[in-house]
Amino acid sequence: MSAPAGPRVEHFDCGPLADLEDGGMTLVDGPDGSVGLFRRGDTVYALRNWCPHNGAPVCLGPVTGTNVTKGGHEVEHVRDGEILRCPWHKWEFELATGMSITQPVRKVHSYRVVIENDRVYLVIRRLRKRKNVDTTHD
Amino acid sequence: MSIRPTIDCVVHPWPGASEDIREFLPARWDGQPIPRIGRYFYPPSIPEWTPIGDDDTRPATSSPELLAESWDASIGTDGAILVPLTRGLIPEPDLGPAVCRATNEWLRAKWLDHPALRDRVAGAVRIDPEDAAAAVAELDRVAGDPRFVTVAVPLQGREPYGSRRYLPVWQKAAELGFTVTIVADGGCGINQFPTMAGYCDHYVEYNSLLPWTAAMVHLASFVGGGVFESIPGLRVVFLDGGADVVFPFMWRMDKPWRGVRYQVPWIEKHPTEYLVDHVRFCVQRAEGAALPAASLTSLATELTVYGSRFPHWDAITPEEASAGLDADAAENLLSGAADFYGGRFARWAAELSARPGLPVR
Repeated sequence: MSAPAGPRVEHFDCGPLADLEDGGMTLVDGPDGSVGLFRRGDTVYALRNWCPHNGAPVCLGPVTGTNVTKGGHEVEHVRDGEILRCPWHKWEFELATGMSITQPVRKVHSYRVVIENDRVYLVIRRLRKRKNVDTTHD
Repeated sequence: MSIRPTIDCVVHPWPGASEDIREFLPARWDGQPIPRIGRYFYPPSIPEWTPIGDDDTRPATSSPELLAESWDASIGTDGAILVPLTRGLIPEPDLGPAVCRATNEWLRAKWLDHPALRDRVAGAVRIDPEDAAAAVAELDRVAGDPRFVTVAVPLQGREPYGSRRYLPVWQKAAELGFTVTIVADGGCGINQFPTMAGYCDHYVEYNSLLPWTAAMVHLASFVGGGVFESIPGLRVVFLDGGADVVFPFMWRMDKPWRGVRYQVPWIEKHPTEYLVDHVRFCVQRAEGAALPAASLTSLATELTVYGSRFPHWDAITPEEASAGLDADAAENLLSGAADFYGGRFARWAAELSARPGLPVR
């Protein structure tokens, strides 16, 4: 009998929600290296601790807002608490998605998170013929 | 295939005497010497301006008749933009705009109207951007004359040209369909340092450093100041070159941009991405005869327009500038400037007649 089509889905157990500081960032050893868990109340964002620019430990950077132009030189500070700033070269990423706010988009790898029975799980989608991930840069 | 006229984007018309513009200056400056044009601190050890001949050391463009007679040998294109010099930074605030205005009237009366030249030349209107209000007024004043097709400002400003105080000038230029050209121009002795690190000693240092470094400072300032975002129609041409160094330089702006844009959120893309829509460089002898194979990347070639800078000593001919280019690239270099300049320049260029057989080969 052949294997089922589509990716294989696994849940990676990150431990109890209660162990994560609300409003803070907790590093865990994930399935493919270090992962930053950002708990915001009952929501947890999970980003791989690896900046797509130069491989910095991006999750160690501050979570801030950003500045945008309202046209010309009129500047507004927006999205406080939504932007993760890499500690090395200050690239800015959306905490919720890992996407850079600048074009062309570069993405910090993000994981979907499920919380079941007060435990936090990363949803890992494996391709059937997945190549090994080199984790040496984490 | 239709033949497009070849255009020399920079020829410097020379006053027969240093004070030729005197008759166009208001009387309040009567009795006060006007500085000579074309005199930076650093003269080369050969005549800086190609002389008429062995017996006459005046620059070769010292009269419209001289330019017309020697056109085929010295210019060779179907049309040319006359870019007069104005002495660059002038200390007296009212004299700068007055010299520019007098120069424009001199150019119009002596050159653009001249029967031997008028079917093949157009003019750069000189403005003094240090007085933005006066510069805007001068642009409005000459805008009705279609023979003024570009704006020229000195390579050195009191501040880099992305500074906000210059914005109304660039805004007005774009609005009136003028491309802004930036040209090495001095003579008053209040020029900025020729290098960021201080005064150099010799012409070779000055000539190999000042033009492109000053261009890059203005370029960084235009980008950093959000000028290209504020004025989407603004087009800038650096008449003293820089295409050979612009990509390494812009790479240095691209690299930190994502991290430092927080301070300048009006920069919404990599700085390099502004170049193609907004910036061109005139060919230079330093980039010269081997263009583009030796010194310019193919991208840099696309940012290049042809201008001889005649009668400057290192003026470059159409043949030299296009040597080594394939036919399309050569045609684009010598005839494609209007595609970028657009506006008034393109309307003028469309009326030029192309002479088959000259010098694209």
